[in-house]
Amino acid sequence: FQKNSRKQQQHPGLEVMEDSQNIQHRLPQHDALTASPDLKTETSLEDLGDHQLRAMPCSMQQKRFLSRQLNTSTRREVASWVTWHQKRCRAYRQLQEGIWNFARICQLWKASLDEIEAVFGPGIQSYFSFLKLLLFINFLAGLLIICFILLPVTISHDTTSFLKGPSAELECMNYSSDISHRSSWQHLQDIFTGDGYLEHSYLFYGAYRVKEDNKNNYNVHLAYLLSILGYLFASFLWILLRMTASLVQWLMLRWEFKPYNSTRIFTEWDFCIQSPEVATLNQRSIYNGFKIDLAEQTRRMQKRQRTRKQLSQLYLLRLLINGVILLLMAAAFYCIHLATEVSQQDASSSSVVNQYLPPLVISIANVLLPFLFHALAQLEGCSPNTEVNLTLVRCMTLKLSTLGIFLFFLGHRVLCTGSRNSPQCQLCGYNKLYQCWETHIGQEMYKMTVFSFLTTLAFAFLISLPRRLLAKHSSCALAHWLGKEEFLVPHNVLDIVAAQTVIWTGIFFCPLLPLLGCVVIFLTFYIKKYTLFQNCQPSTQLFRASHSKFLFQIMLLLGLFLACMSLGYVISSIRPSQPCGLFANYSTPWQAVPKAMSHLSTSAMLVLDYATSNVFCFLLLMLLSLILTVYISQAQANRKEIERLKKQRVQCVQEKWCLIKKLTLQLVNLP
Amino acid sequence: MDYKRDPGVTVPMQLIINMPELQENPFKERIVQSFSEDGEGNLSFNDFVDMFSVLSETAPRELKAIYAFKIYDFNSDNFICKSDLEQTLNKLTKEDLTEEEVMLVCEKVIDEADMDADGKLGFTDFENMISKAPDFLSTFHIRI
Repeated sequence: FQKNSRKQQQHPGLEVMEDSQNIQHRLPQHDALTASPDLKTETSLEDLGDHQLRAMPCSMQQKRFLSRQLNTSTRREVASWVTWHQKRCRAYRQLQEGIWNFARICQLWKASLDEIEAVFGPGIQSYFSFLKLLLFINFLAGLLIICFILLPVTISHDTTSFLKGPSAELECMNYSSDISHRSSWQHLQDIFTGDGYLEHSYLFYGAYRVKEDNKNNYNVHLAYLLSILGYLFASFLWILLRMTASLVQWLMLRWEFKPYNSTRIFTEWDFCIQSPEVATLNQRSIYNGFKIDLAEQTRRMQKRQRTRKQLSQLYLLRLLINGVILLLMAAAFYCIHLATEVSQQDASSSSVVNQYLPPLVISIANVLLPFLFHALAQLEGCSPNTEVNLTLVRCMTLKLSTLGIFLFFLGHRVLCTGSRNSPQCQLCGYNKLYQCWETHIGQEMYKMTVFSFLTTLAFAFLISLPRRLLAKHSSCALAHWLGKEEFLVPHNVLDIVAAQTVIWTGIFFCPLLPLLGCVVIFLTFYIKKYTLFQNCQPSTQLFRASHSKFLFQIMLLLGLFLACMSLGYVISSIRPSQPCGLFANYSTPWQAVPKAMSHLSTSAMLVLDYATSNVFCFLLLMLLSLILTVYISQAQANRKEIERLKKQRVQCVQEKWCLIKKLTLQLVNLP
Repeated sequence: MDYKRDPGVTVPMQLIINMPELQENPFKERIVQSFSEDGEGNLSFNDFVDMFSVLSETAPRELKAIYAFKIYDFNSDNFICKSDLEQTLNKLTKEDLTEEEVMLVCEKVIDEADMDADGKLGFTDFENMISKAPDFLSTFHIRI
């Protein structure tokens, strides 16, 4: 209705415009370009702050003149404390700006990021900024763990043998830390498997011990639990904050508010581009974008004209394709189950390849299945954008669920999660083959991290490099069809998010894993940069930087949930191993918290009791749902208001043209 | 010549549009013209600094919107009319789209963005549309 009414008005508007050209020139122009700052009065000059001065559209000379006037104007009698306050504000702002500029110069990798943005655009640069972000997250984790856990444990170093707890069984205490019988070849293998010297170092949970009758006030058990949980909670809050910042932009991109075509013309060309090939590619992708949009319009018209039979056929096809995808994923899960069983058969004496079987199978599944997803998505008959997004969602689900399934089967085997009454598990509460099961799980996480780094290396040098050489030097049809590799940002981000999920899951079992993660990310940055510059061509799909932030945060959040769920289960319900580690004499690691709290005063205990009781939680939930209802109804009211204002705007436009018509007629009829 | 007291030197447009930062930009002539005082594209030092200051990362959004409007207004009538849009689109796609497609796209743009139904985009229309584009700040800047 709105578009029709506007179209009707355009014709009389265009007619009237020819008559009323003179009148419009006489009307005052509220144009920012013609507003000259010299016309501002003296009183308004005084009110100009530095910020407003910067945003004025006049030349630097005029701005300098104005700011000089501002600084030396003594026309008005002001109290001395006002000028002092102004001077202090200005000095403080200058200090802030100085610090901000200095921080911008000292950033890590600033030169590399600028170079990548200049050549490949902000979309690909966002991947590298994301890498930098993850580096800082892991570095923070490493710092926390070293300060709160590692240092106290090394200071109160306990070399005595383990005190047996009250319910210790002999069979559950069969853990030796003897590494003298290992050859040098085995020592080399240990770097990859985490056995031997590494197993008994501070890398893994097993080596952390404190004396039971510790006279210090520092409760290491509590520190271990709370620092890890606190760090995960802080990461969650921080990701949430970043998500909400980009959520507003994402909401604006919804179709109700989206002036898509118009913004595309004015904002899609990246002014940073300096190389001719990238310029050509950019121009081609803009051209493709327009073509796709125009094709989309015809597609929408065709869609409206689809018969019922065609529609039902299409839905059946889509259902079939989703079924096939689920089947493929189930097959992948079964393969992972088999690989886990094989690799856990005889943990101590199997070869390195055997031990790396689960990460290998997971990687193969994550490389092969996306190709199939991509091919299947093309059969579904959706628009290209939907196709890309759908494939991405499926790949994300695949990556996180393969990891989750691996953790599930590992837990099933090592912790007897489903079969508590089997003969191996009844005695100790966990599978007695794994005397120090936390270290064992930590080793699995360590192997996965090392394997992901090796995969990155292998892909860079064994796949991208030959592909580039082939494309450059050979002229056969295959080489031409393959071409150089394209740097696909979403898939690379998925890889790095999966690696980060592994690090988050393993942080309880392998406390120094974040530091290893830092090293891996640092090296990955340079490897990916090398791959990008040497072996890749800029992608023909323009990846928008604005979509990327929200997407990355969601992926990271899902990874964090997976890690937190598995950690929460382990901390609250599994019996810690008895011969090693900090929590040997507790029934679950979480028991350290109530034990520490029992030392608090009675009033504090009363408050805590009330805060964790059912009534309080219920009241809190009621309050939160009330606040949520208020916000939701406010959002709905705002939406209705926007609709109303849109209608009002159309009516105002119609009124304006009526009035202009009347005025023209009057003026034309003047004698 | 005393450059400090009387900096009346101007650099011709041909030199500036051959700078590596501007060379690949389809709108390079318009950018240089909109910052020059004489409108021909010859920049004095102050104009040059102005240009890169507005196109830098930290310039405020409103200022960038004002100058973006000036750049895309090819006939300098303070409105972005259909012919301006057609020229912009042709420069962007290097004239690969057919005339009919160009017309379709321009009509769509005016449909979406024109608020006061006069068939062309005024500054308020432009600014309104740019405020909804999250990419504007990241694409409308030149890194030196």
